[in-house]
Amino acid sequence: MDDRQLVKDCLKGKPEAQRQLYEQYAKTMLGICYRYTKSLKDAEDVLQEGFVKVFLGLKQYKFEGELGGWIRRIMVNTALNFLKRNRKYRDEMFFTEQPLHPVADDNPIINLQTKDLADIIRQLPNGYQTIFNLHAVEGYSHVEIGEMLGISDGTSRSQYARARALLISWLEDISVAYKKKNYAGK
Amino acid sequence: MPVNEFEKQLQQKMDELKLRPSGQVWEEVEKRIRKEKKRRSIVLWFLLFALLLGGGTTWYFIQDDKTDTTIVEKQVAPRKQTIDTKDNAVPVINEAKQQPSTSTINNNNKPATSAGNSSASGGLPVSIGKKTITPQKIKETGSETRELFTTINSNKKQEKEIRKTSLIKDEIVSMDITAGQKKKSNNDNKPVQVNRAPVIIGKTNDTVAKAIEPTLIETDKPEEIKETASTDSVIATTIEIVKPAIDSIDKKEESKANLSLKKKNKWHWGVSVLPGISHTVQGKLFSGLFGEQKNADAPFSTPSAVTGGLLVPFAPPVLIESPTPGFSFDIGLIAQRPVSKRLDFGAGIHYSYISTRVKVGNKVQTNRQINNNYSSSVTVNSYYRANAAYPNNGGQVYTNQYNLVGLSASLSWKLIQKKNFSLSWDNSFMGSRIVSTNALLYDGSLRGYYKDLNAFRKTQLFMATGFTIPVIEKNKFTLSLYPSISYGLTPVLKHSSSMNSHFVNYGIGLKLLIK
Repeated sequence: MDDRQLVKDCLKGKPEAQRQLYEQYAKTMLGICYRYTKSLKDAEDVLQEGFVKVFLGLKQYKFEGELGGWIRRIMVNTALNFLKRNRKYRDEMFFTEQPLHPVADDNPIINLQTKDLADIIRQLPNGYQTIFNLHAVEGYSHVEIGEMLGISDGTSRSQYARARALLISWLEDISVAYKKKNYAGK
Repeated sequence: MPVNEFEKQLQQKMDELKLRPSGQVWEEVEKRIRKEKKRRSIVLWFLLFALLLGGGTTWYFIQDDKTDTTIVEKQVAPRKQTIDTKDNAVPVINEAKQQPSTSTINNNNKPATSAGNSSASGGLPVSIGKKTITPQKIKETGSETRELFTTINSNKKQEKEIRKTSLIKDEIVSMDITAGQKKKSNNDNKPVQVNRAPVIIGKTNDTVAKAIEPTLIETDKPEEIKETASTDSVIATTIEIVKPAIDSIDKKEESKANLSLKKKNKWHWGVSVLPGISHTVQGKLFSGLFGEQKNADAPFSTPSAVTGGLLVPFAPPVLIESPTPGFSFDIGLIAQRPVSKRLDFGAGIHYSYISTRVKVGNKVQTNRQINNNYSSSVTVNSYYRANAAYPNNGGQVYTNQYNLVGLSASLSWKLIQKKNFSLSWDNSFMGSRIVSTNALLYDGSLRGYYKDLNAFRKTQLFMATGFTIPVIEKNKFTLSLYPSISYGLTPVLKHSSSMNSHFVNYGIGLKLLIK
């Protein structure tokens, strides 16, 4: 069944169509939610909230662009709202004025598995994590991010630069440790 | 390697990330969709119901205003009576009824009007119900005058006689005779002729208006008719005949019942006082009341704070204390009237006080400029620090206060009507205006609370439901208890798509209605 028919059936309230739509996109969407949160449980909460919004707002989907893209935007917005609302995320935001670590290679080759890479991104402080996800993965510009989060684009840029540098330094550390381990093994 | 190669790799890797959610997620999603759809349909049905009731009530009042003149008139059923002389029978407009007149009179193509003219009348007026029948005089040929109606005392014989001559054997309760139709000159030089037909039969408990036989008005002298027309000759008569009544006792009882109904239909005035608890909730209807507000933010935190520092990506790492419920009360001047046996319609004007409480830090006296979604830029002279952000600065409880004035419309359904106990279910809508507030908003860059009146939606629409239980019922007044809950249908803030907060008030009030 194509997306158009699927949406029409969902709008008619057919439970099997709704289930099919969910099954079709749930895994990818959980991957997105996972990147924005700190735990799988929270990611599932966002996913649940997001899908409720998807089904209740399906009328607003005008078949312009891919359905997956539309659902993805809803998930990202839901995740952002979740972070804003959830006290735990606000409390756990630890921003420190630590100097940037020197980064040897600005574009290291990522040899990690997707899940491992996502886990490393999730280690970033909440603010960094959000901006990094929005810019690097979702592809939003800093101006758009500024509007979404209510910050200036300059702030978004600087936050992103810090997040990127931190992540690269971690990736390098992992790479060095991996190399050492392999070398010791030989 | 290009500069954004890292991002490209990352994006590619992340797009591949797929995780299987637990089965519980779908179950919960499905449950919530069904629940939400059910809730939406309930709201729709409720609105439809309210609309229908409102429309019905309006219609009722409009109809009531049109017909509500006298009790007698409600019983009147117009009948047709014609007095034909020639080809054209001109209907006489019955002034008391909506239907065209029942009596017609031919006046040689001259329309008859029903305007009372006492100068044309002779004899004593007869009082029937609220109408006064004045015996009219018809000028016959020459100067001879004859009374159209005479009044006699009611007795069985006469009544019998009257019934015989009547076209209808109905009892006449009301009768209206209008006079004043002036005969105009008869250009045809033809005699005016009135067929034999009874003109009127009238009877009340005390008086019977006896109809005379239709008078043959003939003349060969058009001049005389002219002359007649110049005098106040009466030719038009409006008659009202009512439907049959079984007997006078029934009629009396019916009249009493109607009087009682009329009395019941009166507006009852009174006052209401509703002390209670108010709160602001986010998201789903009443979610905050039933413990589902665990993720609720401070309702008035602004999502878009302009950063003051460098390391503020969005909402800063500040614990925002959610507002706690506060005291509320509502005072109203109300009016209520029954629209049916079980349904009352009410309207009122109200003053409402709503409050919530929030923990804040110390007050800072300084000028700060804040940008938010509501005002492009607002300058504050002072603000309160967020308590959690500065825990050592001494917290205090600040009360967000709202003063509202509004108008309400309600429908009260009498569920139980017993001698010792009665219970009504009330539903109402109230349109209110926030006349003043000192409520605080949260700003991330400020890390504190500030005031911005522009942020609030001034016009608020409330929906309320509750029960009315009369506790003291006297002849002159009724004192009732009414537990009630109201929900603000409109968000508190103007742009609150994600921070959708609504007022909720609940309490037990007292209502005093003067009978």
